[in-house]
Amino acid sequence: MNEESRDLATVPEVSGEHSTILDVNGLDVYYGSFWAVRGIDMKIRSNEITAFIGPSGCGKSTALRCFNRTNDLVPSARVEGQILYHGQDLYSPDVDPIEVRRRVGMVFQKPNPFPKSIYDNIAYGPKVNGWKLKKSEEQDMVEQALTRAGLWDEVKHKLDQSGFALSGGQQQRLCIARAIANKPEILLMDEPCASLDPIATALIEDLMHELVTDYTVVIVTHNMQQAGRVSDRTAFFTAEVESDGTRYGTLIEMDDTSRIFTNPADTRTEDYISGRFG
Amino acid sequence: MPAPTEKYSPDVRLAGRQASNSDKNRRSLIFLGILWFSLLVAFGFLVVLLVTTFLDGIGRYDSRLFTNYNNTTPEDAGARAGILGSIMVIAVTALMAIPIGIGAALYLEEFSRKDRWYNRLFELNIQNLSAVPAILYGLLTLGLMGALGFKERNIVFGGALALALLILPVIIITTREALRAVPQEIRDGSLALGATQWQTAWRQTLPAALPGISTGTILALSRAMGEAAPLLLLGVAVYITYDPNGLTSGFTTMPIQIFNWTSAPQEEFKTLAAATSILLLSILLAMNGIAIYIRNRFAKRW
Repeated sequence: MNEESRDLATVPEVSGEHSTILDVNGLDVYYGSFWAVRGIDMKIRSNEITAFIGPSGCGKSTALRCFNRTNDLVPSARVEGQILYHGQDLYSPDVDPIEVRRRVGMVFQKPNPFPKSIYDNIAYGPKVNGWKLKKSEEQDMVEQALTRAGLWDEVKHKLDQSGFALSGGQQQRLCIARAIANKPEILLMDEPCASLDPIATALIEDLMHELVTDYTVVIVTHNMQQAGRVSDRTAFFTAEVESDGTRYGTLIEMDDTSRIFTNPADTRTEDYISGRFG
Repeated sequence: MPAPTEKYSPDVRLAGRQASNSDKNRRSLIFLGILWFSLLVAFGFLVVLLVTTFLDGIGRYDSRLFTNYNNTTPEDAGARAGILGSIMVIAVTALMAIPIGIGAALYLEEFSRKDRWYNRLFELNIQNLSAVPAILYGLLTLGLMGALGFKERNIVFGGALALALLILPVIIITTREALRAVPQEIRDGSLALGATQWQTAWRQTLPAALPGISTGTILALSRAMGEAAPLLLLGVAVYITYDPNGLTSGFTTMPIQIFNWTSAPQEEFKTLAAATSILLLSILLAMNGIAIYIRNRFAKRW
């Protein structure tokens, strides 16, 4: 009996060809006394791109920010429920949020390079995480990260220039390079293309397809076409209104992207996909 | 009742308003005149002050000013003790006020929980402290020096303590403003990479805010340098014939020396006061110039 349960715990749960990397059970988020996001249950599979879609205020970004515990930085925020990462609850008291954030990287809506050189932008993560790299190792690491983010050829001659000197799309790829320099397992992207033009957006989308061989990608997007183009699985969130007028966000359904877009189980999903609201 | 717009051809609607309502009628011109006059008063007095000080003092702006100590004979008197005293006191003031001021601002801006009542109390009081008259800081220092067991209060440490307390609120406020100007996205980016709050403040926020902090700090120090009131209250001596040589050494400063010479009966001492004023003004102008240069040179566009 004991043997059996341990075996079950060590063998990753297989669904399709990908194992579950994040297992979310009954996730609730409160801001003060406001119950903002309610009862999220989902499984994020490794080495897949999962897209969160839904109208404004549906809780998709809030849910995403629970996966690397950045909600902790909002003083009034409180998270309940369980997010299992390799069987460990991210919100268990003995978990250090700093360690979580190293393993679960994040890319933001607005490119936010540091006011430092391109090189230092990449070297920063490993440095603050206390990796003692020799100068040559650090240089290799910077080159690898920039190459992986498809930026190396564009910046290899100007590594000492400020990250601000780059275009918006390049800045966003710099931020992706910066995140993967930490060697995370999961990459969270909160509307990464919202402030970019279509060409820069296409580059980032291509990049996501390349990154997914090594990383698990979760992307929040307002753009349904983008979700359709890039993701393997799609989670549809919506904002519900209680009888007293309180709005809260919740997950309606999650399925293979092709299914969500052609034959969703819930009419609310269908209404949103077909542009009837949101 | 306005007429329907169809009645107006486009050129009529675009024409200027009536003379009584335009910017070129008599009332507007009088008002503009008053504004010019106000500007002239403010600027005129400054020019008169600078020019008369310069004309009065330039004849005595020579090597004696820098090499000689105070003397009962005006021809042999100089501001050496005041110049060195000012430099020494401001240096010690900077050593005391800058780390404490930046530390306090960093705590309030980056680490304190804004929703706690005591943090709001700190904030409110620091704002108030920056409006407290300088002379009260002299009184406070007098009490502090007594409590610390110093017999002599008119020593370098005492003067620097008074000036440091005086400019501390200004340094805290300008540092906080500089920190607040650093976009939240920089902090978010750093924290999302697994940096601690401490690492984020130390490696990202503080360096990004440094130009603003330096500007504010230099301006605060130049204010302290021109200040005489709190030092007078400490009984800072005016007749010093040696260089300040330590924290417990007696000293005088340029503003004190100017104050003393201006009230002397001999005309030559008044000239000497003007010469010292030229030097003091030049130093303050240079400090403000450096502050403006830093602000413009390193100003960040986020």
